[in-house]
Amino acid sequence: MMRLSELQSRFQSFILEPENGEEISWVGGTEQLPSHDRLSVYANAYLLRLKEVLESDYAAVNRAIGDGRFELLAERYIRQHPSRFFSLRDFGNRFAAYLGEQVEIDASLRDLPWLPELAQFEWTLGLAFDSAESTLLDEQDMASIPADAWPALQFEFCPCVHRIDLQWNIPAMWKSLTADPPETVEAIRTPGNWLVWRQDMVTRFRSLDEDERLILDLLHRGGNFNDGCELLASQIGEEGVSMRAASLLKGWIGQGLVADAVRRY
Amino acid sequence: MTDTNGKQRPFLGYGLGLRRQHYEDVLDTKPEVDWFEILSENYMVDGGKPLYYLDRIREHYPMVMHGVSMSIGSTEPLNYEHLDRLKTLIERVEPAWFSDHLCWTGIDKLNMHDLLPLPYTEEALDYVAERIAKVQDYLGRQMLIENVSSYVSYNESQLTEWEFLREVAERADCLLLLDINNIYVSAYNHHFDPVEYLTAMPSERIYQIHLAGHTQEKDLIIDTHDHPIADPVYQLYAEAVRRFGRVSAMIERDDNIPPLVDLLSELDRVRQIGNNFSRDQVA
Repeated sequence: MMRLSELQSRFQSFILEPENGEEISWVGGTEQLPSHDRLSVYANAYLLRLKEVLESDYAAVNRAIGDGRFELLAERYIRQHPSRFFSLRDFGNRFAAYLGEQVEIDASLRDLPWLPELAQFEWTLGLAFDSAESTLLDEQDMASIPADAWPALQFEFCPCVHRIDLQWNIPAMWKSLTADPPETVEAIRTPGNWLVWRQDMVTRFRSLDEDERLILDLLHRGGNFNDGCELLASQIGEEGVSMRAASLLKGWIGQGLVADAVRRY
Repeated sequence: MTDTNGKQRPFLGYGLGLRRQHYEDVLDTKPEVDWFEILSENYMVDGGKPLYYLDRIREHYPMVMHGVSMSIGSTEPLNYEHLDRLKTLIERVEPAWFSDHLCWTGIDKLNMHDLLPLPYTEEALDYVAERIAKVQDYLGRQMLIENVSSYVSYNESQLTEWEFLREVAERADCLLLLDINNIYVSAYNHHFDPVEYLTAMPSERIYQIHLAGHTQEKDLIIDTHDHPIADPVYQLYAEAVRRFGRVSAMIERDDNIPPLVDLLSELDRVRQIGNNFSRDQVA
């Protein structure tokens, strides 16, 4: 008698590789409906379900390259990276990296060097969409911080705040591709630094100037306000620092990026 | 109707599966739905819209939780990380109860994201009953186990599906979520009499009923949940109500989601059947 573990092992192998040629003696079948066809319902559903997840998570990638090409890539990804996640939400988390590898090795994708970045951008939007809620610092909180506390102040950004650096005009492409109806768009190489976050349940993104990118990354790594001001000074000169720092902070607070400010020594 | 512990079986009325396409409509119109069922895994996220709407809608409606990832029949060890997430969500939602399926979803740390059937053997029976009991102990409450639809039958099976389900429920002392559509689908696919299935069910353990649509293919019915409830499923539901009395019932629509108003009119028909037959019983 075949044990439960053996049956499950054979069943799963069939789903993952339906054409493995193994004889199916453990499932009932008839001439009209052989066991292989019955099991194939599960194998087909597996592929279809995961393809739908990728189509939904990477709608812009799908539109950019068309159904046929997307389906082929999705199927190859599904075969190479079977799901290890309890939720379908996480299944596509390696798709951008996978596209990065494919663009390097697959001659039919050579004309799409921007494709991995578009996927990475869509995935980042998804991360911002359902990341944890957090407290938000408002202007009143900022005003109540004593003047002597400011130099040692460290900022905690909300979990929904993500940074992404892109070599192509991906955000513009994403907007056009996901417009209803989709608009034509050309891929243009224009390096840029972007911020993705969620505010009032809406996922947002914007580009960053060089000084803002540098100070955000520094603060994110644990640098304090004083470190930030020194960095700004090296970028824009001493005289503009206080005005620029105040303006950046006001922007971050208004956009709901800052969770907390803590004085650490 | 009293349950296995002598308690009155709770009756929540007639409900719908909560779907994101309807979040705004539900909050704006507060439709006459007695309760909502949420798909637990959709809310095992850190934040954002799903949890925002969950909390808002929970303020206005009773809820039950329904899971797809427990993999209670898998030969892989129980996933306590998942059970902890479930526990956290139960504490947040305070549902009337929670449920998952009598199935397995994967082994070797992989997830097929499907409700795969079990062989109806003594070995599987012992194994799954013990696992359900463990889950109930860990979460400190009884759970509802749902019958799945299936397209294969194992040559190793020694029991019928209904004997297996009934025995699992008795041994694990768990409750049942009876999916009437799944019974209909499996009865067609495996050529058994769905009424015989109903007859074997321990009425006192049935806390909830699922109704859904399916897709008829050439030789099989596929449980797609993307159509309105089919007439034979309504008839089988009426048969279930005649046998079990008033049971909280709902429509589980998972794909090709129609406007909320369409589901409400479908739910009216469910309500009518449920109330008519229950009234007959009372009379």
